[in-house]
Amino acid sequence: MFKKILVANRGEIAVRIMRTCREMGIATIAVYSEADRSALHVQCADEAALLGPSEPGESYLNIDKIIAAALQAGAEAIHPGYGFLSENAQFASRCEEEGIIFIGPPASAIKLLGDKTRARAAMLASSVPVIPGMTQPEDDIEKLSSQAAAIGYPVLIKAAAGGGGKGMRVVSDPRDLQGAFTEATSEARRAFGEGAVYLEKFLDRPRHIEIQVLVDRFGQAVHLGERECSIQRRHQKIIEETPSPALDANLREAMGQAALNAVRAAGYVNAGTVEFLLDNEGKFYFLEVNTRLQVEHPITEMITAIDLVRQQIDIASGLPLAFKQEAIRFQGQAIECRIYAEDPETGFLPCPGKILFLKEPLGPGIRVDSGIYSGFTVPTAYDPILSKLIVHAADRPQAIERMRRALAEYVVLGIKTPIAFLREVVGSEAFRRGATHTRLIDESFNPWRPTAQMTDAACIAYAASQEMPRKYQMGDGVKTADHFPTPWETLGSWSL
Amino acid sequence: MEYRLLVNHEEKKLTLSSSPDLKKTAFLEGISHQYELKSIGAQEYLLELDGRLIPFYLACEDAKTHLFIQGETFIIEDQAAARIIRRGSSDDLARMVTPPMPATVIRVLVSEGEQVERSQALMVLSAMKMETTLVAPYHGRVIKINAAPGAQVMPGEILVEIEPDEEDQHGAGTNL
Repeated sequence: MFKKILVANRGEIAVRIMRTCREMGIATIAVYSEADRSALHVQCADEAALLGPSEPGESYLNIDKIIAAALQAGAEAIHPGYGFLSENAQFASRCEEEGIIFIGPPASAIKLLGDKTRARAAMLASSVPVIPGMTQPEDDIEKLSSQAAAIGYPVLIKAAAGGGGKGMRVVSDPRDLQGAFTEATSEARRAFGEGAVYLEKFLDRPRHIEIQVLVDRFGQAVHLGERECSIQRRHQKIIEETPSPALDANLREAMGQAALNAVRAAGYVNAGTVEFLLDNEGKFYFLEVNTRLQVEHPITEMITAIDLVRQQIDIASGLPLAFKQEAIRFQGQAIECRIYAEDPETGFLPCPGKILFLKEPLGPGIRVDSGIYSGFTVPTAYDPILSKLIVHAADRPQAIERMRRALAEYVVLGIKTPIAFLREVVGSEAFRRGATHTRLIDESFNPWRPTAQMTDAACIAYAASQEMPRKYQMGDGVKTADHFPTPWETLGSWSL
Repeated sequence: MEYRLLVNHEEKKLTLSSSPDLKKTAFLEGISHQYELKSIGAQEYLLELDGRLIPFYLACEDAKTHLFIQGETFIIEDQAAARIIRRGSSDDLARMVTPPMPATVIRVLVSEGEQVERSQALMVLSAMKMETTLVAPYHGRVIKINAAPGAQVMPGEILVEIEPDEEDQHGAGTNL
């Protein structure tokens, strides 16, 4: 087993990886940029190495600097976390060349799965279902018509040259195909100077379901069930849960097997996630493989009691998987909410800044994977994720109430977060019914304004705090009393 | 005491008063509420409002107070305090009597109504064991002193308001 690992990441995921390392008796090296000198992940490591300026290219994305830091500190392995270099095949092969173990799949698998066309071809060859569609443009309406029938309605007409919705038409009825084809072709010609179109199966408000897999170096592979990631804003996930309300045991097994076929087709090793779109008839289609630890991995850990980071490290160090598929049990329901520094009232624009006060929720079934603390200034240079709130309960209704309780206890002052927004989404009738899809936030919560029920209480709270004896008043996080108030003093304030 | 607040940009007026039997009452939009307040930690409080216990948390930044109560976050601007605790542009700051850093007032050297000369010492502050003297930015008459010895003061707070003399009118409005 490794004695020392460099964690090539920042924020909550670096902290989370270091925690497992500590439990395994492995020393950790943090890397950081100038913007992250006082970041939490630097305080959680055994050693820390400054990479350079805040720009990712000069720090967290700089392969030479990270390799140099690893060699300097004598790290045997590098954990890339998610984002940054985690899906960079060049980085993985560079580690190999330098004799450092990359905790993730081999460079060849990253490369294959990163190329969407090659990945699609590999999946087709291994009978993993992909979104049905044409690979070549077609201008003959007769041929298009027979293609459409083969794919199955509704179909989507797409411009071969374009994007941004131009030259795109959804056709649900075969009788509308001719008209839509004419429109799409002329629109595409106007927009891109080329009218070529092709057909793809149209998925109406699909669910985004992903399967977690683990593969060891000896070809043993297991899946750890699904994660439902349909709730998104700006095409980015914000709430995830497992199990998905849309899956039964049969569909779970079918998707699990498809996911295992997908990673086997790519010569995959280590933890990975196979993403699928699921339509409302229970048909699923391969989307892509994420060749890294996912942001939302904790919900799988909660219901399986398997530490995915520990598994990643074990596999990378050459150990075989210690359990078989039959031994994996899914217990209860887990939900994750991502807490970003962003404003749900302005369409989720990021708003970094100083955290004036922080109090994280506690209690039964609560897990907070956090990269922040009171007084921390969230840098502008990176992804605005602050933390993830994960709850685990016996069933879905209890998990929903637990999440709402935890969100109501989550105090972040000084910067905008979607905490109140998330509480409303999780409590909504659609979420409770499990009727979630990728357009839910756009359709039902955009625009969004908080429903303030505590305004009057807030006014009284504020005014009353102003009338407290001056020495208990705090400004800007500075302790103005020269000592913490003793109970004698605080009790006294009841009658003042 | 009367308060005029901007709560998430909505104007709210309320009055707090203590009756002789020490019952605390808040009057807000024609309704009176009984309340008690207990300070728990540096930024944590427990409000008892009409018999119900409600914890809340607050933090100040510039003239704004961020307040979290029962899962909701409010940004409160105190209109009465805004006159005093207001950030000026750097141009204004040169003409304001305001501390350069968070500090404690040690001595007040002038009194309200007093005529002061430019550069006359007005107040002595202490910050991180260093004493600083605030001086008058122009000739004028002291119309208000907003801090007493022992007070904790922040940059941007105008500690002494001075009405400039006739010949030093430039920028007269900036410190009021």
